[in-house]
Amino acid sequence: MIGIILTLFFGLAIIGVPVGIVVALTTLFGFIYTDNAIFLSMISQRMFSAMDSFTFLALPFFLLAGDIMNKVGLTARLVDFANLFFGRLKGGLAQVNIVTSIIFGGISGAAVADTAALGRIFIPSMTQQGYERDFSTAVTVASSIIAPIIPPSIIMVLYGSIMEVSIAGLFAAGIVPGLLIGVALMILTRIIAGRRNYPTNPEKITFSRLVKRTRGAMWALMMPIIILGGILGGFFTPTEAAAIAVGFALFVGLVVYRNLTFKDLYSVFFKSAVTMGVITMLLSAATVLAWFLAIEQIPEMVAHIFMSISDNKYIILLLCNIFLIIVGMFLDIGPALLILGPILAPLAINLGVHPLHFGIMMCVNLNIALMTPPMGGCLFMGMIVGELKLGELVRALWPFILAELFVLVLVIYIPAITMWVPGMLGFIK
Amino acid sequence: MPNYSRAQSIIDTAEKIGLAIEKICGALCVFCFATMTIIAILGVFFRYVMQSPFMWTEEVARYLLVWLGFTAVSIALRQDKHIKVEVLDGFVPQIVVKLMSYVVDLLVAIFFVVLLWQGYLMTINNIMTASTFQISMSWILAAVPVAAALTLVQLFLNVIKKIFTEFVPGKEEVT
Repeated sequence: MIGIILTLFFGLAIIGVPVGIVVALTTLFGFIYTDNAIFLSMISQRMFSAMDSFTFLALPFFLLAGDIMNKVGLTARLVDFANLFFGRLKGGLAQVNIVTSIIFGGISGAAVADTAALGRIFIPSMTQQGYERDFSTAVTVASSIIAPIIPPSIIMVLYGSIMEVSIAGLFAAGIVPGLLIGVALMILTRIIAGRRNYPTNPEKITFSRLVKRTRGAMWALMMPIIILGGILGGFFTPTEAAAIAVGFALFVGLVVYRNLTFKDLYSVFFKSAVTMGVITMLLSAATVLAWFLAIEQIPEMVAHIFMSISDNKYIILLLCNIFLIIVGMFLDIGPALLILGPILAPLAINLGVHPLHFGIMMCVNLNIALMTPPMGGCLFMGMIVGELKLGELVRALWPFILAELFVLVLVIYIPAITMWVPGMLGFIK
Repeated sequence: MPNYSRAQSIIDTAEKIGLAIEKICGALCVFCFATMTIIAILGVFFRYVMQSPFMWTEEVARYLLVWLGFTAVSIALRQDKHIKVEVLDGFVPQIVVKLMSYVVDLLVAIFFVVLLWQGYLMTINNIMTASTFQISMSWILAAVPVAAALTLVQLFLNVIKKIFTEFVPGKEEVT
């Protein structure tokens, strides 16, 4: 049975059927193959109920809030603010790039959007200051995956929706791993900057500058405080916080800066809506597949295969991660999480891995895969904004990938990195 | 073989119809999205500020999300935004890529026909009503077959454009 599902899946995917429809067709042909045509009605029913969910409602709002913030121009103000403090480090702008990604991570939850938004700001200004174009792009791409690991995070909402794991818990668990990736990238950048003698920002921190920059970035900085404080403090559900984030972004654009026209607003809503079309297809189809796999007992079979290699928890986790990295090279993070989550998570949980720990591990792993060749959303976006060829970008990118893989290993083998914050906030019973 | 200008006018018509449907669907999506946003913010406002939660806000927001998400599937298909694995392009001859794209269209069509059929059955056989409103759940369930139908129409128009592009000399594929 596993063989047939895999053949169908890869056969359909390789000839270029969109992944969401590959998932749906695999299920459809699976029903027919197992002579369960009676289940056909489950396709429409499961697809509908996947979407009819209050938890999932957080996703379009976070998507929209990030888009509005970019349109309003808060990103540029954040860069000025971060430059005052972190520009003074060796390789100033590269460090600021990473720090902005960390703060940006508290506003937006999508990596590819981060690559595009920050790339357009940083790559021109970095090359102007004498940084190589490939290095500037590599820093942008590598740091952009921090955004979906630091809450709020769109992929964590997806994972939580299909796996029925607490989204607030996932958000809390993502904070330390996200910061760790930031620190790792900053150390690496410091080493490279020292060797290539990259410039620093000569500006001194004066009181007037501090006040001016802080005032400029104030609205952008308030957003993560409201969203994260609200969710982690238990005041709002993630969905409510996401709605507030949209309201806040609209307020900033329409009332504070007044640079958001009605036409802009329509196009921002429309753009987010089209992205929702893509996500709808994926999530709803993956829900049907997860159900089909469960009744065919595929997760048990996969567990059996893994356990026949080893019954050591650490070796199994290592195998899972190697498998995920390989899959992630070809498959986008959304479909990979939605398809493999229901298969791999039960295996890990059986071995005593906490669902939150496993969820974050998957998110970090598949996020790194967004920048590994031959395919990856951030990699491609980096090639577009940096105007580089695949080979050129990868040559500059690989030290950063290694640094992130090192953090991944820490996340896998030191559960406290993920579990400490949710434990402290009472998300773990 | 139709003459070139005839082929071009068919392509243009298909493009015009597709764009018109996209615009209408887009307006519906934006309406759902905007209303959903306002309702969700109102929900928070009444729960925390007025201390009297409305039960209906959550439900209405969810139903709008259903209509928004499914309607947008057809727009994403027209704009070719659905995520694909493109490993074979560049490794196989152009003619094979072209043939495969028709096979893909056929497979996509098969799925949406099944979804249209099953979604239609689900909608007409439904006997439930929404929990806080006295409206039939069929109004919400209908998003699924409607989305399937719209997607089939857009797919059909895309295929028409692709076929007739073959007859227009010196023009690359439009899709």
